[in-house]
Amino acid sequence: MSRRRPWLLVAPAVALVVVFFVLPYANLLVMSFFTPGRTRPYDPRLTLANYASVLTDSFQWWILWRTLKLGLLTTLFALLLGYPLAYNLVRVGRRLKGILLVLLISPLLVGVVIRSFGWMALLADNGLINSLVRYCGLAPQGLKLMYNEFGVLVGTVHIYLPFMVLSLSGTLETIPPDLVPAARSLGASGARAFWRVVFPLSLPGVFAGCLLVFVLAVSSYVIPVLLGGFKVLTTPLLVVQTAVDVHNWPGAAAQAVMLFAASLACIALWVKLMNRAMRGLAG
Amino acid sequence: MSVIAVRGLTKRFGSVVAVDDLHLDVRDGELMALLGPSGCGKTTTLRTIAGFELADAGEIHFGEHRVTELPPERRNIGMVFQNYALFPHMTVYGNVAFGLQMRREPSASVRARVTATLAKVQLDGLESRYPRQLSGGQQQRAALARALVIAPDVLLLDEPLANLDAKLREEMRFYVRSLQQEVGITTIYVTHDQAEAMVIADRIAVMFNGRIHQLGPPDEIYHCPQTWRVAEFIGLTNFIDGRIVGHEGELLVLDTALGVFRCRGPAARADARGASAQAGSADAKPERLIAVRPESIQLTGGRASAGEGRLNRLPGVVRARAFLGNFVDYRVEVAPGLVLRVQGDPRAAFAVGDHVEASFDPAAMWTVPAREEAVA
Amino acid sequence: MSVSRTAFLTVIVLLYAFLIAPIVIVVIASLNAGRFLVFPPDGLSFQWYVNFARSGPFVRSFFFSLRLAALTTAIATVIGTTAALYVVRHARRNDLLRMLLVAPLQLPGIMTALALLIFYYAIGLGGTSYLGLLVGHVLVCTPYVFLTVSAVLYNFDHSLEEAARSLGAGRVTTFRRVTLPIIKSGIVSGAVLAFITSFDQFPISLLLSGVGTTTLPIQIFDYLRFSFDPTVAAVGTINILITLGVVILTERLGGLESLTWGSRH
Repeated sequence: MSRRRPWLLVAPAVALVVVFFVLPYANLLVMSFFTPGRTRPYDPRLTLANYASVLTDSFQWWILWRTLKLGLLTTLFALLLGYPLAYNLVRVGRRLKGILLVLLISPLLVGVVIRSFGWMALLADNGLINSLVRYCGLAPQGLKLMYNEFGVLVGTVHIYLPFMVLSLSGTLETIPPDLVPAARSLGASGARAFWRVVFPLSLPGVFAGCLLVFVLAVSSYVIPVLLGGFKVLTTPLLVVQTAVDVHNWPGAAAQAVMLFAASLACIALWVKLMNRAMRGLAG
Repeated sequence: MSVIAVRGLTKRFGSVVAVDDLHLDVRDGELMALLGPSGCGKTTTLRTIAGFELADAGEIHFGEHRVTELPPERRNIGMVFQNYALFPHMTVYGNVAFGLQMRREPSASVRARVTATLAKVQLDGLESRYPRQLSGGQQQRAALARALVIAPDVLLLDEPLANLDAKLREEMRFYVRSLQQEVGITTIYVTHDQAEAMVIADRIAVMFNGRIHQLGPPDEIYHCPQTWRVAEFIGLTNFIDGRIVGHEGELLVLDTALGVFRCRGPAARADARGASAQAGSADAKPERLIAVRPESIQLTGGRASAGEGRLNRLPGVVRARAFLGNFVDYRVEVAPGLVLRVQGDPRAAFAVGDHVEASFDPAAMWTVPAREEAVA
Repeated sequence: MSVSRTAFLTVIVLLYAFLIAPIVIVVIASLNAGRFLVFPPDGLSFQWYVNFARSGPFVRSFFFSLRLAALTTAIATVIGTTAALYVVRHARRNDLLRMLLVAPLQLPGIMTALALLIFYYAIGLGGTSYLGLLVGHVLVCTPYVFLTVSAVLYNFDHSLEEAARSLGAGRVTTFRRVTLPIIKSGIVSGAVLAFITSFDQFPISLLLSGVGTTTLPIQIFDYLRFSFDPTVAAVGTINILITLGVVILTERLGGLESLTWGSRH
């Protein structure tokens, strides 16, 4: 619109992101090298002690391992559940697709806290499922569905499932619909046509979806808090705890950086695996 | 109604020169076609004349007004785009009235003029439809109406028929032409379809690589192409390499790998730039390409007789034939690797493998500069 | 229908049931006469809605969230739209710029919140200011507007603007009468997304809220940590109704398709 200086259009957004996103993260990184303070949250003296303590604390490693494990399980289940949903979504007509998209996305738009409440009402010891189970006499003592890793897993899969579905359906839509009939005309059964033709072509979407869900799951905060009580501690909870409750900002920053590093390592490994798989399929 | 004068127009995109020192004069009321393959610079030329691109060098005048630096909205042009660019959120009436509203016409006058123009393009009754409710041909006419109702100084059309199916395109060619003549507006028409250009244009400018290779009326372009690129682009042409070795009256004598040929002297042109350069190069460079159109070659059965009379003769073997209804398309091999396209009478049919004699009337053959540099 | 197809469709139906189960449960719980959801059900009651209306903290935070979301939306829509206009017209191939503008969506909200908290202290803003909270909200909401408006602009036919100018419209008139009406749907769906994101925003509000600046999700969260109070269900149901209404509105305006563009970027 401004003929002479069009970059003015984008300046506010860029300024916002640079000043209030890039700088804070840079600041966080710097913070991880500062010393924890006694009366203040931090002391601006450089040290590597925070990293030393993070790397040598076996409790933190265990928390990290559990966080990554939950992330992997979430990704796996999101893929298993999301693939059929995505497959179905790209095959239905326009009107139904609109309705299904609304159904798919509306959980996202209701807010994570309210959704967690819904799961609590379902999974708690005196929640609906246990009430049903007891009523039917299936397990008189009830099932432990909440305040444990199972509850957290259910909640996390539920939140990130739509992301997986959207990522997968994006790629599935690009696959020409007459490939399966072509394969079948050559003698392949429905299942083989799927595994040999459709699935390999959908791998980029699988790849991207798994990456996205893993990164999101590993850093989720609300679900582990609400559905895990404080019995399921994950690294993000630990970070917040260290920062807000213990007022140890450098320590929290170091833990956050470690979480990022661990995620990046997993991502790098995943990329390598996927590249190998893609090459194997192409060859 | 005015004249368009373009001088020294140059436009670069990065390191690519899209339009190279172009000169063009469009006469009052004429329809000038810019013809060439994609990438030749014809659309860029049009857009620069319209004002959507700023020239790197050169001047553009509409009559006496110098418009080189004016933005499009101040040039008083009417433009029809390839995809019509009808405003989807306005009705047909809204679209056609838009230009008049920009000129602050009083609404009563707007209504009258829009209605009259819509009637002229046979869209009366469709004013309150939206563009998506119209057929391709109707959208085309709506776009024309929108451009014409404002009575612009020039009309610019950028491949306006490219999105129509073949049959409709043929009909619309005549329609656009008759409309343009009726209104009498100076028009530039960009197209890559040579048949289209031949049908509708008063004069054609054939462009390659940002330059005009030849400018003239359709029959001149067809019968007297001045460069091998023009000859190749317009209709079908066979080329034979040769060297000028002498004259025989009005004919040139050339020596080729297939023997000695006689053909027409340098082509006469009406108003293309570089006429003298052409005549000059005929003497400067003896290497030429002999050009002959498929329909000018006669095929007869049997082996070649001795070269008697004025006609050039060559023996050949039919390698392929395709029956096209009103003629047969032959490919005749006259030398290893040299295959000529010949159009033959369907009644005197030859089969693949037949030995034939091809004869060429010198008056139907001409020469163009050899392939390395072919710019006037 | 074949067996395998029926089985497949059953699975699909169950999966969609899984997806919307918590929402349905929240609505049911809000109307439950008892405290917990039991089978067989206790009966119908509106007590929790009454409870909500009587609860000072809930009502205050509800309206606070509403106002904050409105302000956030206004700002995010303007700067997101202008940014999209620039990127699509002048910097289409600048991947770095696009990634930068979408970055707040790519990194975990809780980490961004932490980084912002520490940063605010460093620049003297403190951790409980309204301005800090607003900036945080605008930061994570603007990318949505940017994405939806970009999606519409990518498909926008540039020759429409040229046609308008060839007919005599200047740059501003062209934008007002041709461009804006056509990209309106992208702007509106972006604004809607921004509003919902701000209204439901959690991590940023968690770390940057103060005593007088508590948003509704944080209020609910505080309640839920220590007790299971179905008043939350009533609040949640109202929230769901607002959001669903807004989502359907967006679907009508054709904006939902542009969301799927966002996940591909």
